[in-house]
Amino acid sequence: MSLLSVRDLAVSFGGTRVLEDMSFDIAEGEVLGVVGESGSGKSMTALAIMGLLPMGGSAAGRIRFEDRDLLALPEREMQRLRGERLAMIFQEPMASLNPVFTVGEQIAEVLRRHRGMDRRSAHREAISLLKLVEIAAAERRVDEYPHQLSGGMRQRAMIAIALACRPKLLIADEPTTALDATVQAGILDLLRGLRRELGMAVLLITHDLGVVSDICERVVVMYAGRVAETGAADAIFARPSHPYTQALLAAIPRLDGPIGALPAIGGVVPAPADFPQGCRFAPRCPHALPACEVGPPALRTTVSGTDAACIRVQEVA
Amino acid sequence: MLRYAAGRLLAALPVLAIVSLLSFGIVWIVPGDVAVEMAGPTATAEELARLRERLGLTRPWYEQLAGWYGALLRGDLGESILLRQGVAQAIVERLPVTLSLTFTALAIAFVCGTALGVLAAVRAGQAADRVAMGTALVGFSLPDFWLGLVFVYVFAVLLGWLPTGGYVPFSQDPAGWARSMLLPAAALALSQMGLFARMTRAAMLEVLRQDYVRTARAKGMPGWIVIGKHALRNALIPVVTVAGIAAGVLLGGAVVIESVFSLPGVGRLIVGAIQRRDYPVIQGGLLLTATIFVLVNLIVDLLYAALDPRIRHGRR
Ligand SMILES: Nc1ncnc2c1ncn2[C@@H]1O[C@H](COP(=O)(O)OP(=O)(O)OP(=O)(O)O)[C@@H](O)[C@H]1O
Ligand code: SF4
Ligand SMILES: [Mg+2]
Repeated sequence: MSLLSVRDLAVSFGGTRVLEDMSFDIAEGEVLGVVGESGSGKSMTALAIMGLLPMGGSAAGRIRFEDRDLLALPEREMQRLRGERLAMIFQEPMASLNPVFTVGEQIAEVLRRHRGMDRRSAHREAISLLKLVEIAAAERRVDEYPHQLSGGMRQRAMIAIALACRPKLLIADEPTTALDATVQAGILDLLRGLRRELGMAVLLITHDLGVVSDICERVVVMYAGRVAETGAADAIFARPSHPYTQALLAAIPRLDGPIGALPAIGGVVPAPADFPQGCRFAPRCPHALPACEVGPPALRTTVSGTDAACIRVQEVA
Repeated sequence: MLRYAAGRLLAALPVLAIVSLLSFGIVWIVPGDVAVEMAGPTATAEELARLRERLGLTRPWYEQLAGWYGALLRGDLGESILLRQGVAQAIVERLPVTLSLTFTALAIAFVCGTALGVLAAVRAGQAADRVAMGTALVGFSLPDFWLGLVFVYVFAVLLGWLPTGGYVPFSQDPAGWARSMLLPAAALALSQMGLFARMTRAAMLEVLRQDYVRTARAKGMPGWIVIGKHALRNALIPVVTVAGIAAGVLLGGAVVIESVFSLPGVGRLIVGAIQRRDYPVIQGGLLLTATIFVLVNLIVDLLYAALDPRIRHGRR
């Protein structure tokens, strides 16, 4: 049985559906990558799992984590899960830490809440967590404020907060996008090492296909609020089946750069209000036929073993 | 932190120097002859001469200035002509009344105002928000002396719960002191409470959108800790600025409220002195008011630093 199982997840703001038909699984200890251009619904997927959608957002469908149905869980019980078995780190390490509390206080708070530790042992544990995320001079840093740390160190501190209770699932929403290239590599190495050490599952959201091919076992490629293609990372990189996945891979010369514009196809992701009736990729797809505009294509299994939402997947793959 | 505090203290010194110079200068700035103003139109030339002598106006200005500062450093603010009492003593006698009133009002305004503001922000757009902001607006619009009169009528005259006025020193009877302060402080506080409520609501709405609030929730913290600790600590930083201004406004409002509740405070002393052209008292009052302002701002600066580590570390 998988650790997390998402079925037909949809997220709406008022009458606007920004995400729909989202289904995927994560097994214990597995790393799942979620990729897609800006606005494709990656963060909304993550926040829906955490139960932290922005004001006005609502989720429908089913999210099963361990043996709980998260969307049906009362807020009080979600609070017991968050930070304890289910943790998340965000894109902006600058803004994600509270400026008026020390790093140590912010780590200790989780331990005091979920582990019932007293002030002193939580402080001591905070120091060892800072060492775990490889922050030098942890004994000194623990009593410093976020503004005294570099961007990379802040993201490490965020990771320390997230890992404080050894969660079963860590959701990382573009954890390195806001950082310098050299710092990025360090954070990714850290994440890779930690997940092996702690055996936790990771949902890694990224723009960076290089990162995905590097550390993810399976991938979900999203486009305009729907799954375009999903499957084993090796299969998707070796033989992308969905025209959008193909375009994504063609857009980068090597597998170590971020997704830029898609020169092969041009155009941008439509806003949720302008989603096309049929296949949402149709306006940009070089293989589009009139039949593509009838309705959203269902996922079908491809020759490489992935699942792709494209009616012409047999021909174009 | 110590260096920061020392710096703020040093920065306050020039302000005090300028204010003391202005207080000295009042006698020179007012149009006409101070002695004539004080003694009134019926005074004889002889009386005027004697008054000028007592005020030291016959000496050259630099001697007067030196004398003023010399006395000031000794804590001597001169003699009130009309009260036949030292100005410093007259002020010290009445200061506890005014400070009690102002700071009780500030405490009421701050506590109730921030509470209303937080409630309104958390329930933004809902009924509770409209009720809280409506209350704030009403408080903001009603003049304090009018509220004072209504409070006296309702709570003292009709219901008889609290005294109509008068002051009981805290050292004599703390409970009596609280009873004597409640109505005047509440009347004074209401307008500033509205101000605090609006400021807090705006600051909270801004803070609640920040990523670190989401982080606190992602850590599994219960709602009241997310709001009351993570958000409020940040939202209070701009609200504290308002506290400095509010303290000044309340000090000004205390003058009227002291009259409504017959409280023997500095406000009434100064008003009386202005009516009767008692210049030494006016000078002392000016100096006192300015000193309180400077002190309040100093406290605000220190609170700022206590709330925001970025200021303690000289950033921002
Ligand atoms: N608070 C909100 N109200 C209404 N719509 C929103 C809100 N937040 C996000 N959206 C919409 O939801 C869609 C998905 O946004 P999401 O943040 O999940 O994208 P993303 O894939 O994470 O993009 P990025 O790579 O830029 O982070 C977007 O079209 C966005 O306009
Ligand atoms: S369904 Fe049609 S438009 Fe959509 S990706 Fe496939 S070929 Fe292109
Ligand atoms: Mg995002």
